[in-house]
Amino acid sequence: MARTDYDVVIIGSGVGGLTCASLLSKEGLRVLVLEQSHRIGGCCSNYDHEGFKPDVGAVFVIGHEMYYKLFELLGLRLEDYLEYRLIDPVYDTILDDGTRVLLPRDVDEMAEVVGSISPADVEGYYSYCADMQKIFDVYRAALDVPMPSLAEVSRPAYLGKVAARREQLPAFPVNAWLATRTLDRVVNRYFSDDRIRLMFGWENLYAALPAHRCTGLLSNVTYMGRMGYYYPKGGMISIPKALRRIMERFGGEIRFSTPVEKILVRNGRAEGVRLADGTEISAGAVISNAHSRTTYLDLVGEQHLPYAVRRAVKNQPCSIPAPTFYMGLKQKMDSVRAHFTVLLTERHKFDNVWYEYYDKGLLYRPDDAAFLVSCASHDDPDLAPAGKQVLSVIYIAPYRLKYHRWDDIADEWAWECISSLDRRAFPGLCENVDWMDSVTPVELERRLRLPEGAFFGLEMSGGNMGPFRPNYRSRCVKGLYLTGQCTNPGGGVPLVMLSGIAASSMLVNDLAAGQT
Amino acid sequence: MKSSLKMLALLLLAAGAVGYLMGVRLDEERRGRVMKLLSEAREMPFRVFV
Ligand SMILES: Cc1cc2nc3c(=O)[nH]c(=O)nc-3n(C[C@H](O)[C@H](O)[C@H](O)COP(=O)(O)OP(=O)(O)OC[C@H]3O[C@@H](n4cnc5c(N)ncnc54)[C@H](O)[C@@H]3O)c2cc1C
Repeated sequence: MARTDYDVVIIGSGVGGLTCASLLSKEGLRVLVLEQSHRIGGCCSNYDHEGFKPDVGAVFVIGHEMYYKLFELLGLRLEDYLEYRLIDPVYDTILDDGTRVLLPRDVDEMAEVVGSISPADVEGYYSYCADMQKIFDVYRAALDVPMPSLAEVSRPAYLGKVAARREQLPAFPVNAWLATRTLDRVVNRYFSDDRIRLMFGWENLYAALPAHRCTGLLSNVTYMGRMGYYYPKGGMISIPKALRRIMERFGGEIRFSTPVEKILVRNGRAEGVRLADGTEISAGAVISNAHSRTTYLDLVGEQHLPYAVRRAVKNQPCSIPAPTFYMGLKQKMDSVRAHFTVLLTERHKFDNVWYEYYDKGLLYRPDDAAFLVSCASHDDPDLAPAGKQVLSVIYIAPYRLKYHRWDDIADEWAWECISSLDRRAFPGLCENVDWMDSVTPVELERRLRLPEGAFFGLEMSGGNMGPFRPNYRSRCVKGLYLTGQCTNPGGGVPLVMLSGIAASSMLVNDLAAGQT
Repeated sequence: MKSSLKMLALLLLAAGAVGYLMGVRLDEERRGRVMKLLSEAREMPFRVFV
């Protein structure tokens, strides 16, 4: 067989791409990562505006056990590469009626907060915790199974061992119940007060779906906050940076500002890539970390796709976008009391956002909007100039607007939102803003080459998960593999790591069998 | 055989009519959700080939 330039070319330096790059370099393969942007990390990154370094995309570490599993597979100690801090309190929560509470991580302290708002819900809260703990135990137990070699990770023997853990049994009825309910129904069962329901029912936004469309299984995301959200020193970009160091240590290479224009497909197999400047790089296999739509329709090209694939890729819905605006503040504000501040509206307004506004392509009044405000410099002061603060504000808005163009209203809209934040949470904010950058869904799409600026790539609903999400090993182009949030299990840094592990494992097995 | 086919056709027709009537009665939001579910169900089989 002719010698190729590299064994594996990876398109994109998101967490998925870098997970593959580090694992495959460790296996001794010649790996090259090509990243279109000048920065590493894709949706888990940051940028630097005169010392203000807001997180771009991911804002905290959830499910950090998965990070440890990746390092276990790499044969390295996570502590040598990343330094985490626990985020506690988890949220400063502000409700429409003026209620403002710090939500602590500790289960019992949280019960006191619940009791101070609605004494009747304390019992429901403890029963919620007991049920969620069962599920959490399953997750922990699965992760307790020692990692085998990379090749074995995707083999039935190992997967069987993980699935057959005893802890599955007590959690089965709860899991079955959650899986057959929507999130709003689950939350309503445990809690009676609308304010408490809202506090336990908004984190479905991390799945980028409204509560009435999203699986009840997600109710344990809120519980995971009780188990700990973490923040790495240096910001979220420390995670891809750590993976890059590992990859380079094992001999892998990375090139920035190098967009891939085409995946070279001959006789139904991927043989390398062509860059925007026309250079061709040959490879034994290609892994794409780009969105599945970009990978198949733009990089592979429709002419290489059978009808069913073309149709599926074109019609698969993207998740909701995650428009964000970033702010550098002239002075630290005492009203920023926690790493995260969440502003929620009355429950009916919150529910209406989806149907009355989002689905119709409308923007709601900022005063009726929910916001997640993240202050990166709260846990790591080095992420803002001395005495100053940096904030990222994530909100819900549709990609397609009925009456406006995002580019025309980006700044005006962000300032309206900032005025609302000033009134509802941070008095004096408007005058305190030194610098602001409004990244609308359209801008997110441009900067990250992320179709529709989609939070989690593809929707994470039943019809887009499991066998209905794009495969790690392409079914129509030999030698092409996909990793990242558009594959299983979906969006979120730890899940994307899992996808990187699975794709790399399959590739290694295919190489051993001479099947790429 | 023929009569069972007729029966089946009749049943399908009746189910279609009931479905239609229920659909007409749904408020706009619910109808939107049902339409979305139906279109998802139509597309799902194609997704397993990707
Ligand atoms: C606003 C927001 C907040 C989030 N918050 C959290 C959170 O708090 N915690 C959490 O765990 N997850 C969070 N997520 C989700 C998480 O960030 C993503 O699921 C994850 O980072 C996606 O990683 P990925 O590897 O799949 O893809 P991406 O990060 O999208 O990486 C793809 C990479 O490919 C590159 N690329 C694309 N096309 C080409 C091309 N043609 N040539 C070369 N390179 C190309 C892109 O530039 C990009 O770097 C958040 C996401 C968003 C958007």
